[in-house]
Amino acid sequence: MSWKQSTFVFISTNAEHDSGGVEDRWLPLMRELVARGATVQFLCMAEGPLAQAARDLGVGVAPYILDRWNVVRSRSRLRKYLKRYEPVCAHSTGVEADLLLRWAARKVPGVRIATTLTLADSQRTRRRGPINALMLRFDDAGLKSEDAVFLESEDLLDEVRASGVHADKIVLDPPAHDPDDLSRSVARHLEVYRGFIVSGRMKG
Amino acid sequence: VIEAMAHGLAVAATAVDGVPEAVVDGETGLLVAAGDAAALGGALVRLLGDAAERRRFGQAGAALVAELFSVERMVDDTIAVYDGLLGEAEGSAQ
Repeated sequence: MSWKQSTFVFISTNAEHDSGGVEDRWLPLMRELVARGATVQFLCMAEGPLAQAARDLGVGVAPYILDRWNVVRSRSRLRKYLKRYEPVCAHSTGVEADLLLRWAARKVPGVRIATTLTLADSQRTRRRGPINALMLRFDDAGLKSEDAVFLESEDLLDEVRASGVHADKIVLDPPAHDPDDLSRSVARHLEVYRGFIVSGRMKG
Repeated sequence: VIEAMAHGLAVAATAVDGVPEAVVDGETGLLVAAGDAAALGGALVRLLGDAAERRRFGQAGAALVAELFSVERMVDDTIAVYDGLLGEAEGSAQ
């Protein structure tokens, strides 16, 4: 199977630019896949700057409504999507997207699933509460079904091994730094800050 | 931390999470234990008082970021993983 015959799907619940964030780091990856002739799809939570940046690269963007209170419906939608596009790999990040993808991909033959875990996903830093505890439990149980687990830090290795992930599926993936993106990010934040100041003056 | 290092700045940081992967104590910056405010203050004073050490850390840090934390490295490594998945898909299709 060549790159040109392949589809890659990226899934995240985050719609915002976050310099150094996984989704921002996916953009140059998407660009490379598109350059190789692959079909690339990005399923995100809602329209936003990140969706537009992906679209500008030639990536198909489908704002995907993740319904927290109707996960069965969300799972069905995603499963239909995977069956329709038959991706070689569906790559998710964020515990909600990870859980949904694993669940949806279970009955879709041929789809490889990958996740990127960040330090924010670490058990020690996750938010507490009954829903999060339940998600965490499912997440740990399902992690070993991933075909590739990207870790942004060696600090996550022990947790992932303890979840039963085989060593050859673990890929260390330190956060990539793009100096130009940092400049753009600073500009974006200044823009928001200026807007805040201006709107504050108008109200005052 | 990585962004500061990429711009050639010397870094004083606490040794938490993934920070020690970027800040190698005495080579690319100074690391102190988490919660040790006195040690962090001491590290900052040390850097403020030694321009040569700041330059040395800054240069070493920028080189480390270029080597380990570059977008090119990330793209190449991830494409290599996808290439393996493509091979598996091909194998299972035959």
